[in-house]
Amino acid sequence: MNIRRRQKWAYLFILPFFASFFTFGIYPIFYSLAISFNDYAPLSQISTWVGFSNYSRLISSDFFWESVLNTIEIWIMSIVPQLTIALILSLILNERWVKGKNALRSIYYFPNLITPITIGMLFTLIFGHPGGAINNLFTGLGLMSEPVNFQDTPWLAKAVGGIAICWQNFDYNIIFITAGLHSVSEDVYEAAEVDGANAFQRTTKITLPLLRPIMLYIMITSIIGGLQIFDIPKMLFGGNSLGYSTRTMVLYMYQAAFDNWQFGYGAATAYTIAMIIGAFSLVTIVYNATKGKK
Amino acid sequence: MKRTLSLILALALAYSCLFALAEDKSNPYEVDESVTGTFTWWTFFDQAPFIKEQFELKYPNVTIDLQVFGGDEYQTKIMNVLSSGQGIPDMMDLEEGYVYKFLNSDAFVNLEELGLEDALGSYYDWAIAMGRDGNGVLKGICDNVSPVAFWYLRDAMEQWLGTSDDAEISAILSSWDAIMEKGQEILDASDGTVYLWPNLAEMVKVEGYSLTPLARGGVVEIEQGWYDLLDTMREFYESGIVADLGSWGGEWASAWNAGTLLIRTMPSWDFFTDWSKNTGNVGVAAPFKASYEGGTYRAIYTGSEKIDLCATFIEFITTTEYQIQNLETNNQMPANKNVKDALGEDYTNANFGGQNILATYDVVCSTIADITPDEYTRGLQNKFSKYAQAGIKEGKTNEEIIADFLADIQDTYPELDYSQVK
Repeated sequence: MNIRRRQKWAYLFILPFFASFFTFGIYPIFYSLAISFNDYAPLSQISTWVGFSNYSRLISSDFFWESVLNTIEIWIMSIVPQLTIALILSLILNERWVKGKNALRSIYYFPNLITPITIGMLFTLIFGHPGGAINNLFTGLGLMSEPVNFQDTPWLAKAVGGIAICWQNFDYNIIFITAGLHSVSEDVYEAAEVDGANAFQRTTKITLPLLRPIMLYIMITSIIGGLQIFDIPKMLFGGNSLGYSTRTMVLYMYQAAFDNWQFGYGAATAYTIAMIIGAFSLVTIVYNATKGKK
Repeated sequence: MKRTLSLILALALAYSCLFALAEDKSNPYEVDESVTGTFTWWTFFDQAPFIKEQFELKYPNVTIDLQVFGGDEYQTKIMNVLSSGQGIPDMMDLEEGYVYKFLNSDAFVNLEELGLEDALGSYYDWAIAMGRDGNGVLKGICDNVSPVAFWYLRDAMEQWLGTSDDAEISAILSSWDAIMEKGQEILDASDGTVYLWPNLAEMVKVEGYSLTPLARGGVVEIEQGWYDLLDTMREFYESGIVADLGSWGGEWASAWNAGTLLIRTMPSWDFFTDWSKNTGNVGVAAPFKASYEGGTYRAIYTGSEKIDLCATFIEFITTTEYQIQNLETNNQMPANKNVKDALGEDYTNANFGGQNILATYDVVCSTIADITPDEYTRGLQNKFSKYAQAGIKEGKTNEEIIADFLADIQDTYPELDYSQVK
């Protein structure tokens, strides 16, 4: 078989992937872009061209920007402890003296197997008022005189969301950091040891700098994933935290499109969210690239 | 061995025949074998298999392809099939929260043209009104109604109010002032462990359908009654008599089932009662303002080839015979007033301690204001409730609460006319 005939067969083999990718990936992206410039009625399927009015409505909506701020706050409240815990546990589990490290890694991964919907409901019960597990525990131990209403205290409601997301995802990051730690050559550590570096110095001067590429990857994927948080906030406190303190920007989009049937506005929100996430990712990449050069 | 086996088989056959005969005798309907065919019915309603079973008792030659979809995404599923034009069921259930969004489209049959309005002669007016589209065309029909009542435990009420009789309880709790006074008495007498009233949201639930809806004909207007309600809610909250347990929450349900929360305002389909613990100990009393919560409406797709068959089904669910079965099996309140007449004044329900719950609910259903809701009615009421609760807890004035509420609904429903409230 000559090369040209073989190439034709190759196209046939890759066709199923590209057919599904264009149908379910590329086409909806451009279709929703078109919808975002229309007022779209789903039942009649009548689209009325409205230009940029969905975007101007969105930009002037205080509620949308509030949801952006909520998303960032919840993300920060989850990513900071998430990376800290994941890094510390990875470093500990990377030590030779730790027994049963494989079992511990599996146990730490368990929360990631639970669906976000379940986690949202679970944390609603744990942080319920007045008789949730946390309130019962702290009032029972005499650490609090009155139970705390997490649901009706905006910053606490966000913190509960952050803790829930952290609990679900810190284990996922352990996998990446552990892989990063394994990629650091033993020779470097031995050389440092010969030069008299202690364990703390080896961690701060060798391990952490060499983990930068993997941490950059985690940061970017965390930004992309973290700014899209939806399911846990939707379920947390039955979606009824005081005001809209746990309404994230994706939840805002979902409500516009699927609760209120404003699909044009929902599509415009989706594109704006994509731009916001893109901007955050770009800032992270540029910052790391600049820091790397220094 | 062979003889024993033959005997067993003969006994089994005889038992089956007897069982079949017994089944036939228990059929409450006059069987109609002339109607034949198959149609598809989509629903979110977990009691739909019961309705299907009842219908098939009367029409044994009709097969229903029933598909039950759980979860919030049911309406999205219907919207998707209607948009795509593919795989649309012949008949579908629509819930109060989104029924109007669908009925205002051309996707559903005018049930008046099928003669089904005649079957609603004994229905409550407001229950019929919920099935009409924005132009008043009847497109959906329900089989049960969801009047809101004060749910209580008889032993707890005996202890704290001195009576478990529903009429006496309604008379004692005949106004917000009376509820506040009793709530304070009970709280003091129980050393702060027993609450009469659950939360602020349930005050809106009681009053909501006695006030002019927050938007009529696409125009937002807030009558004085809504401001008065805010004042009452604030008074309740500041007095400390509200348990502040969120409706539908685990703690709210368990406090009520344990008798430390005395009242829950819930519709007749309430599913938070622990029947294993409280069968026979439950009561419902008519609140001083009548309202409802929820409603399941059946509508027929215009493109269906089984419209007549679906119409037969819808006509069946409006009948007195079927609604009696539904009441006795599922405690579902009939939309057809003839059920009350058919069962008479002596009707009692063992789950509710022998109470005639039909009579109690009839009091509520007969006094619900004849307001035709639209696609904004429930949504705006829910948002009002949300801002009222939040604002009162944050110490805001009525004007600030209304301003927050208006800002939100302007963001959500920019198509409404706000000129009357600016």
